[in-house]
Amino acid sequence: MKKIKIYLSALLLLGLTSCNDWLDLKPESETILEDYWQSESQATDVLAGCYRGLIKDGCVERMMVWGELRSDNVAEGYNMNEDMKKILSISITPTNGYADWGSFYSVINYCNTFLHYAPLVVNRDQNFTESKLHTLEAEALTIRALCYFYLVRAFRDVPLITTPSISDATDFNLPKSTEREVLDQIIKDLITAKQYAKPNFGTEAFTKGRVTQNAVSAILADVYLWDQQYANCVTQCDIILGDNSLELVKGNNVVKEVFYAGNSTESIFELQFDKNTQWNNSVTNLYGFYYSTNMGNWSYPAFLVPTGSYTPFRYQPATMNESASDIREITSVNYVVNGKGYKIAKYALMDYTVINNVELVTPRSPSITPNWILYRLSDVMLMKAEALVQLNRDETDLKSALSLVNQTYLRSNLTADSLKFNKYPDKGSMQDLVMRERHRELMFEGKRWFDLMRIVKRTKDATSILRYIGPKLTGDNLQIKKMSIIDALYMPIQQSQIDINPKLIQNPFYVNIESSTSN
Amino acid sequence: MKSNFAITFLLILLLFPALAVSQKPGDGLTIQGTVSSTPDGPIIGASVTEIDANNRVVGGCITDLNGHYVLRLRNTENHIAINYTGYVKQTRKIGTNKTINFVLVENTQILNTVEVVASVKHSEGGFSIPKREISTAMQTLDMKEIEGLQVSSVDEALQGRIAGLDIVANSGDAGSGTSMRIRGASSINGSNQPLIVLNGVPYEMQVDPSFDYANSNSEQFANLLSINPDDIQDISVLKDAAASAVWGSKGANGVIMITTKKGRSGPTRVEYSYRYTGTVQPQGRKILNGDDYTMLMKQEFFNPQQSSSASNVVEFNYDKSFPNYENYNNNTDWVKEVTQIGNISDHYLTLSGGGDRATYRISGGFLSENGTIIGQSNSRVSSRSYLEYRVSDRLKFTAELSYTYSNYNRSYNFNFVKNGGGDSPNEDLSILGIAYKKMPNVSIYKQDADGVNSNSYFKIPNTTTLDWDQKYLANPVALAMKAKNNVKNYRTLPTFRLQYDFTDPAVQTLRYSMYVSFDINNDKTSRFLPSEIVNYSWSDKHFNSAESGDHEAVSIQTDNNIAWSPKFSNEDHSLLLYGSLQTTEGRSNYQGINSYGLISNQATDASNQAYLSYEETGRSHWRSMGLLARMHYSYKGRYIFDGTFRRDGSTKFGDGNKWGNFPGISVKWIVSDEPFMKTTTNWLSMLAFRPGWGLAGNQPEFEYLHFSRYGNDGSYAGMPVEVPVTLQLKNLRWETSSSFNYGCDLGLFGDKIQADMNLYFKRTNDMLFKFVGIPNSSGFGVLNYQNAGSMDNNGWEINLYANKVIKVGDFSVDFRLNFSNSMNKIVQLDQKILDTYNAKYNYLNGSYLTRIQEGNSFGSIYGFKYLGVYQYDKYVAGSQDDAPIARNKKGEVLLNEKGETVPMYFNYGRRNGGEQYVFRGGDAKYQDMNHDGNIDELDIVYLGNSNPLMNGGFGTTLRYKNLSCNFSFNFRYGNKIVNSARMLSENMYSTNNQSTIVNWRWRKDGDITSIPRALYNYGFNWLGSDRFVEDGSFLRLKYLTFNYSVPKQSLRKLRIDKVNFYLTLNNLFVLTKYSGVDPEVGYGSFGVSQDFGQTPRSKDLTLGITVGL
Repeated sequence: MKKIKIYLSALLLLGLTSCNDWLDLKPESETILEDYWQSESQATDVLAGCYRGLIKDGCVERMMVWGELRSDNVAEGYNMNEDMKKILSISITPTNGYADWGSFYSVINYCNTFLHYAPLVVNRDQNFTESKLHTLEAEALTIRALCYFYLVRAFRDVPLITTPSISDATDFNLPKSTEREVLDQIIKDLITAKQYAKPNFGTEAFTKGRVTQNAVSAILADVYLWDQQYANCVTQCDIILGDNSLELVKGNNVVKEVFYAGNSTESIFELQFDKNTQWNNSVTNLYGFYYSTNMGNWSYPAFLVPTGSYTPFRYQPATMNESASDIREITSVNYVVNGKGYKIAKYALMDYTVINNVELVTPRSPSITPNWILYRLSDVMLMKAEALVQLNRDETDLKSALSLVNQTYLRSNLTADSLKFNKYPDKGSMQDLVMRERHRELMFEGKRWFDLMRIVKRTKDATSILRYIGPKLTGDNLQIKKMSIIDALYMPIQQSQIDINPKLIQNPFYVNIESSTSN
Repeated sequence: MKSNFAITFLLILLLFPALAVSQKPGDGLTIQGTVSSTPDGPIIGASVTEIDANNRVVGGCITDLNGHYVLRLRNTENHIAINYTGYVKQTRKIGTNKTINFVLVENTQILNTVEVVASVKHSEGGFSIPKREISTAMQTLDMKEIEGLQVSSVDEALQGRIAGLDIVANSGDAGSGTSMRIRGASSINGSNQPLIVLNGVPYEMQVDPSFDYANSNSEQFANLLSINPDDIQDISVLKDAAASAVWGSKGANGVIMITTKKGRSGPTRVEYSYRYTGTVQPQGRKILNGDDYTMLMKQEFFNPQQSSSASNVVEFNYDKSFPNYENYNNNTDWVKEVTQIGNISDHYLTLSGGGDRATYRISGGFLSENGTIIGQSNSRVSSRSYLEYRVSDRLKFTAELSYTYSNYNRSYNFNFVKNGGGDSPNEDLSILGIAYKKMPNVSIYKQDADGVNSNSYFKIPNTTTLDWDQKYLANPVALAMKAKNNVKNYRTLPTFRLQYDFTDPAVQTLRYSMYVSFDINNDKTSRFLPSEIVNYSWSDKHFNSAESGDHEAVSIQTDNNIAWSPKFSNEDHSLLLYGSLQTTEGRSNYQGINSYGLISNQATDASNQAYLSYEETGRSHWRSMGLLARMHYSYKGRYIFDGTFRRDGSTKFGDGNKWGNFPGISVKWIVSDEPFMKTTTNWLSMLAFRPGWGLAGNQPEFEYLHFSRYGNDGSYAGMPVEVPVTLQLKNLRWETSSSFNYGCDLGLFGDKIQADMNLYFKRTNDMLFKFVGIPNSSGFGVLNYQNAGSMDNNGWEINLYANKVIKVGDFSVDFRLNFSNSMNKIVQLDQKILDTYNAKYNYLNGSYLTRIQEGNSFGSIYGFKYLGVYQYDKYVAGSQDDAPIARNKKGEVLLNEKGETVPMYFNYGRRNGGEQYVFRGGDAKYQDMNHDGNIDELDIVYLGNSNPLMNGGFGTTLRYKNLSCNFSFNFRYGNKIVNSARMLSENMYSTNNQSTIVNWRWRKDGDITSIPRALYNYGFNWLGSDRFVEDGSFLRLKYLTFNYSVPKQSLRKLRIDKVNFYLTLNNLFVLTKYSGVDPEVGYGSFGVSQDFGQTPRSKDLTLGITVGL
């Protein structure tokens, strides 16, 4: 009898343990964390996920909205959504969809995950050496820094998170860090990345589409410029300008090689789109398709066209010294009235054959996958020019700035003479020239609003950019009033985030809008 | 899989002895003889069987034309039995006989009045106890009670019949289901649907986490549609946890147990029934015609800016020079155009019969339905077979097989206005919803310059300057006729059962039974949106877009159990012990593709040459295991004790949380059986008390939650991508609900009047919350699940049944009544959840402040108090008092330092990012609760709750000879509904068509009305206020049925067994103050009933006939 009992209890025990096994099911189409991070390929797959996150609509669209929409480049186009309309009419509220930073934090989390777990793979996969690890880490650090850089420019203070989110045991309610703390982290990460980043990857798609030494420098230069560390900015720009493999594309070929074919000789870092995985929906929606009779959601504001005291391409001959036949005009804007403004040509219109002796691209159907260029050589040249103007240690700084401006200017003004220093003899006029040249060169590339914000940061005065964006504002006092407050130039934190995270404090302008603005 | 092998092995083991033992002496011998009867001579086709000592059939044949038989014997020790319908069965021992002749005697005994005292048994699988001894809260509905009703689904039959079961139809669309709640909601955003158990096997559909059903609600709830009501014997509803603890983790929301009909031995019976139903859509709200609409629009555009250029919209101008003039000068009644008289025809054929050893029942039916909305149809082919074979008196084998094929043509639902994106309120996107919104001055068909219809549908051109809400709103007639949304469902459920008695069941029961049940459920969805309906350019993802999806799921459930009921020498004791091991294993996979820019409107499959917008696949695999022990003990048949213990294991939880224990205890004391109650037995046939307690559980819907998972996410520049896709849920636990139930059963006058009452207290702990928002700075937007908080559901229910309470000659009356009440209260909630749910008030029109508060009931509605419309714009004391100015508590006008009146503001200071507004004459007047001259969130008050104070039903059956009349009412009382459909049709804020009531709008100073002025995209005239919160109480005559069975005498000549005729009127009338079309509105988010005007339940009339042969 006793024996039977022993047998029975043994059987029961066996049964129960096997029950637990039976109830252990692992997903079939996914890998669980415990089985992941075993090989080099798994590590690179997650790294690729960081880039993949950037090319999703959520990120690219925000790079465009944050970088362009409030600037003087953009007016309402066709079928623009309500959230964008609200931004244009300077009535941004915390419920605005573009106040959602989630897509960038999702990339940041991928980077954090990679940086946390990839070092473990070194012990598990013999092929994955320390040096391989470091080059990949350089990419992850750079992408994370880039994301934070966008966030800091759009929101100013944001939560700084450098550890991965793994389980519900973590407390996700984190407060904002100051812009200073975030910028310090960005700079620190980029300097580390710079040590290990590869000069190139062999293939063109990787060299332009992944983080190289030049890409790190370009981002770092941009960060220094934002942070007003002009000498450091110049240093980083010089590193890039010293690389002979980079070369400005000839003026006639810019549309074809830089924007249509992509990965041109002047490209430093651009996000790669392809037909099968990810279309560049943001560009096609906002700027439009070449074949479509409709313009995109955005248009080029009409007020920039009539000759006025300031327009990038057309101005009264007496007021400016630059040529009036800049080919960037027709490659950026198509003066066909359709709706409230003009159709945007850059990225969108590539169906011209020959206009003004400029050969453009024959159509491709449909052009849905243009790469989104983050940094290219002309940008770096003009960043350096801007930094030099700000340094203004002596006249040579301004002169070298002018010669940089001339490089980009001359390639797009085939018949013009180079700009002369006597026309731009002081810091003020040179500063304006660089601004104008950046405007012409980088129009619709997600740079303009940040260029304007740098002016605000330098002058600590929001009204300093009213001369650019003023014409866009309606006579409504309120709009100008709002645009005169620095806090109002940053985005609000999305309300849903404030609601669920008690440690987040709304950005100052949006906490309670002054009641004096009533009526 | 292992377990399945074991089961098969066991099966073989059990069957084999039967074969092995039969090899005994006597093999090869034959026996012969004739079978005859005295009056009729030789009997042809009588069954001759050789049976062994265990009454197991070991051989057999039938008699030939001469009544002769020859049978090869297995064993001469066996008996030979003759059986022929209509004659008394005979059995004789074979022994050494070589010839045995039988003379059968006709079975003509006439039963004199025989009183059979038997206790009705209630059986759940192998656990069978006398019904009188049930100690838990349970209610059973015999389908005979509702014979002849046109119910297309079980839930419709249950509606209003079970106390404590609240059933609300999701909508009147063909093929949509209902939402059911037993004893209120026990979970805030988990499922509240009860578990369905079909013949002892849980009948459920697993939802694949990666599979996002476009119409998930109706899919899930329409689950029951695949069981044909004709096949159902009875339905029991287990309400308290002591009863549902048997189902452990699955039973937290209560259990509905369905038993299907079985075969009965006897000659083959054929029964055919046919029902035809005509359905009519009830009259909804009246909407404006084209002329009134354009007039409203011109005012609506004029008012905000007070400018006539704003109201100069060419589509409203009736300007003949406008090229499209003819297409915009109509009075189209869109609602009439999209509705029709629907019909249902339902054929059902049943064959049943069997002999001593085997019984069978085979049924099959075909139902086809055309909805009351054009383009909706639904057809169903279903069949069910039940075969039972008794190998011996101890061994029984059963096979059940059901197959259902349904084909639904649904309306294509799509948010045209927002193009699938945006944060639009949950507007009604159905065909009917569109019909109510569509501009009535446009034509259905394109019209030429003379106003003659062409044969193509009119679509508002892309170039119009009209607002999005009209520009992109499809032509509802075109949408119904041209777009496709088809779901085909195939569901096969084979179940095999075996039952073996180790002992003679007449002495004591020691019974092993088992089943293996398969559920194969496949869905095929195909949708197509042709370009001729929509306005999008060909690059848009909705231009000629097609979707197709295949979802396949297979689950296998097994149950092995042993029931032992020992025989006590003292008959006062009775005991039943029961143990069971249940396993479930299932797999499902989903594949879907979505493409657009298809070349033609004809080839509508997503696999055609087109742009692929996305591809989806998903697979899932789940297992669970349950160990169950039950006991039932009764002493003297009046002291009863029941105990249940269930241990459930699930793959959905991580280590340490995999197993949950679910005990249940209940006792019953039948007072009326006590000797001291002897004096009252003549009128009090039953008085019993039954307290009980139990724990039940709930688990999340998804698998693999306790892992951090890495999944594929396409590629970047040719590099494959894998990223972490979920957060690991380390802390996830079972949701448990513990409930006390105090029940009382009452029977009067020999159970002529029966009543049962229940009082319950239920507390749900560790409530599961789905998709809990977390700061997205974590890289994730939500936690898929979290346990957070507890909630109480307390209530009572009363059920009364009077059987033949009035009986005069051939006339008799039955009466039944039930009502119940459930109060719900949130006891405790995690702060994070509260923060997620209790978002700040957004200061937008149309939104109610939603709150979940500890100590408050779920489903509460908060908003402003609506006081009507400001009659004047400017305040003039004495003559124009009713103007928008601030007043203090006493109603005195407030003045500022300059002595001027202070205007009434909305959201002064722009809180929470909202707009600020100054009220004007003709604007909505809201009560300024705190008298600060500002309408803001501080003026928001509690407006009511969506939980009914009471719901239930009552009904009567009247019988006279062969005619019976049966009617049933159901009611809900005291629940509040947010009538969003009315809100959207009275707000005069967009270019959507409005209801005729807006003709009473405020137009000029001095107008006295309760409808504010029209303001296009301006003002705050439709804030969430009590203006749109209505009492949802109603009393519905759910059905009225007449049933006539033709007298048997007149049928006998025609050799017909029975002929019945039915006439049913469904949903004949509803008494309600609710202004919407149908007061039966399901529960939305936060448990608030919000009526978006879904297709109302139709009124219908059914004619039916049943013929039995």
